[in-house]
Amino acid sequence: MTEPGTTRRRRRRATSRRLRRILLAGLVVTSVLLLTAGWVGYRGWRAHGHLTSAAAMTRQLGGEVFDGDRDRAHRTLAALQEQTASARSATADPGWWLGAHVPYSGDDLAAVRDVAVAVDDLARHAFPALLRIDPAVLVPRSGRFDVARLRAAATSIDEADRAVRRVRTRMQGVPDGKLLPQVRSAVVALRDELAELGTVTGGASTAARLLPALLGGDGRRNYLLVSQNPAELRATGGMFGAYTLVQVTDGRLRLVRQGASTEMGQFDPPVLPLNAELRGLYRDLPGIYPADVNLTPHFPTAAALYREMYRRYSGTSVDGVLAIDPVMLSYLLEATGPVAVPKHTTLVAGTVTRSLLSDSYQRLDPREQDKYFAASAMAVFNSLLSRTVDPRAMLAAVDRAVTERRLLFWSARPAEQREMAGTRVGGVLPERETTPTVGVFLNDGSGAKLGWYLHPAAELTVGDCRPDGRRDLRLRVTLRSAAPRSGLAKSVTGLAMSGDPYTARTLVNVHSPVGGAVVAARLDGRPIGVGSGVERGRPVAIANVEVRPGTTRTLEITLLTPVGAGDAADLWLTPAAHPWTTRIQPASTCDQ
Amino acid sequence: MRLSRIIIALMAGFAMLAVPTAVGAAPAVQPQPTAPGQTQPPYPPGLGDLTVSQSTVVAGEAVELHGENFTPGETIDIFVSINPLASAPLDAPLDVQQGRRSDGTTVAMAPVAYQRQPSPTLPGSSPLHLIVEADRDGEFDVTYRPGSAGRYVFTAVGRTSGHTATATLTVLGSAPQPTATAPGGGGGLPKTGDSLGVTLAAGGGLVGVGGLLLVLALYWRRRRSGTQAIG
Repeated sequence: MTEPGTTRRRRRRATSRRLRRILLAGLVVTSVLLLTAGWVGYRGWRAHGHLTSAAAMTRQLGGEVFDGDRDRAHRTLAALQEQTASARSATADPGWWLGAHVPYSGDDLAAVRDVAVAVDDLARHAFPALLRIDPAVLVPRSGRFDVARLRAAATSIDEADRAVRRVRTRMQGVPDGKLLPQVRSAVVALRDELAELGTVTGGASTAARLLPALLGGDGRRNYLLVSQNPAELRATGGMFGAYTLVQVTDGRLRLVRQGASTEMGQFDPPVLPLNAELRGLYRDLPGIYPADVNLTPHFPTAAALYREMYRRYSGTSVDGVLAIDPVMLSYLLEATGPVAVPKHTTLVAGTVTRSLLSDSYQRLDPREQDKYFAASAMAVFNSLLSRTVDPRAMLAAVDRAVTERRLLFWSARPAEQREMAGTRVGGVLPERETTPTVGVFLNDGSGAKLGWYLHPAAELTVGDCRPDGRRDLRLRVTLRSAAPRSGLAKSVTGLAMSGDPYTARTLVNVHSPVGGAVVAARLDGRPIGVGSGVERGRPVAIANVEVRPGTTRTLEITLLTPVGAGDAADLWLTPAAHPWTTRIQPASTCDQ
Repeated sequence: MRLSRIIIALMAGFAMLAVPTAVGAAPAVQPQPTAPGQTQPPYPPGLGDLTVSQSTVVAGEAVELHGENFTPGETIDIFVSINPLASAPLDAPLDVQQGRRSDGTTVAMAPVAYQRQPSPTLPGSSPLHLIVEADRDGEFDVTYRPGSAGRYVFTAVGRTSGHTATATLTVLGSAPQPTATAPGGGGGLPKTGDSLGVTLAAGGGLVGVGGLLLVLALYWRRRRSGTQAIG
């Protein structure tokens, strides 16, 4: 009687036992999976903490190097290396390795590991090499550069550069298509940082390699040092006003000769063949007049033309051309302190641009101006060589000038120039670019020195996506004139090509991004005709903007990016007497 | 990055040696006198004597060309060369059209296939040669309607004056209407940084949950084996 009941019960118990076993197994598997996921997550969280600390320390390290506090910098570097090593080890255990091979989340974990390794490699190989460089090596002592020490520094810079390039290559290999947005942005941010650092260490490495030879370490060199005068604007900054022939032998500098570009006269036919693109935009002017060599923003062209003009004028072929401007002088005077000029006012950082670009035209005749400028040159030159100048202050001044493109160099030796071309100092208008860059270059069309009174501003907005894969760009350039309505000397108002001596005529050259296009232009809301052409793969439009004293004109230009451009854009501007007010508005990515 | 800026400074350091001299020696260039008897243009640059109403149009869209500084009433040839959009250097076509080297010497004109068009307004066609006449002020206006995509280079040459001016036009193949901005637009820089911490911190929570489940499983297992021993 109880038999069937017992069997049923047994069977039920067996079923329930099996069910429990399955449940238990499932629970254990889930637990292990969750534990592993949790462990990896925890390690990732730790790695994130270390990497965040490392980023802060890198910034601190930069500051300490900048302040010349080498002891503290070395301590910070040690702490930084500890953090990056921890981040690296946090992403190195078997759990992480396993996680990196799991579908979906695997690529994120692999990418975090790559970031940790990259940052650790930078801390262990690139930064220590950079810390070994002594900035003082770049400043002359007793009137001379130490070429041997420079050669030694080149080794360290090259080591750092190679480390950065290695890390960069590794990061470029990280696939970022399907990453979590947070991980992806970290990868992209690191790539951007590396690109910037790579440009800098690459440039530094190039410069350090070239420097000993450039400074006459392998034989005497002659350079033309030209001063761009932003009172009469040209695309690279200002008209090449004065020149100084500088001779450098084994690091020792000597001023050979000074003069004004006007002495060279004019050249017909043009000194060098200009290609059709240049002729289309600037006619033959850059090859005829020393004052027009830099109507083009591409510095190597300007420098090569100027060198040839000087050769025909003087019979001397120089090895290169270095361009600077009075705004850069103001930066240098901040490092040297005020410099007295015999029989003239003392040059002071805060007022030197006004003294050279405005006051001198008002109070001196052209002959006296030349003497004044020559005297100023000698005074500053002597003070730089004779005074003990803080190398860091000097480098900060040069850094600022380079960033603002107020310091440009071109070498007549093709091998050296090929290396210079990739650096910011080279002033090369690139024929390839990753971020679409719009050039706004100003050329004075008045034949006057009204540039001192112009205040420029530019706003670039990335606009809509188009069916053909291009994007709209909207550029708004405003020019305000602070010129008086009367009382300016004839040497300021010059040729008055605009018809009114006080109205500044400025030719605004808008260079589209490489492969892009300039569509149309409006001046103060009204459509205007423009001069047009192409330069180095960039369609160019030239607009004539005439500004009366105390007024502002607004030029609006619509442009197109090349096909497939991203959501960012950049501006390249003529460095003027007064700083530009700029704004760039990026946009969201186009849906492809 | 501050360090980067310092390295930029290092890189440029070589240049500073000579800087002060030059900056100080910044004399004003006085307007340059043109030597007597020369016909060179004055040194200040101008807009160019051939301008376009738009520098980029789509195929079939008209563009206005405006010329000036020609001899009043003279006949002007406008040569048009069309290059693919990808080709950057414009040397060949222009040199052929101008028949002139950059050093000013002339070369033989290369034979160019072009059609003569008596009318300056040519809707729907893109001729390679136009003939126009300057008005009393030495100016002219002409409408041009390019038929296909490419980079168009216009070279206007006055038959009497020999005056030459050029303009360039980009012609796109597709319609220029923009699409709507990508969804979720509104600009702004991409977010970076701390949200990564939130994601990873969630991992810590998972460790807790997993541990709890494991403890639970072990407890259950022990209770079960205990029950079996008694039974």
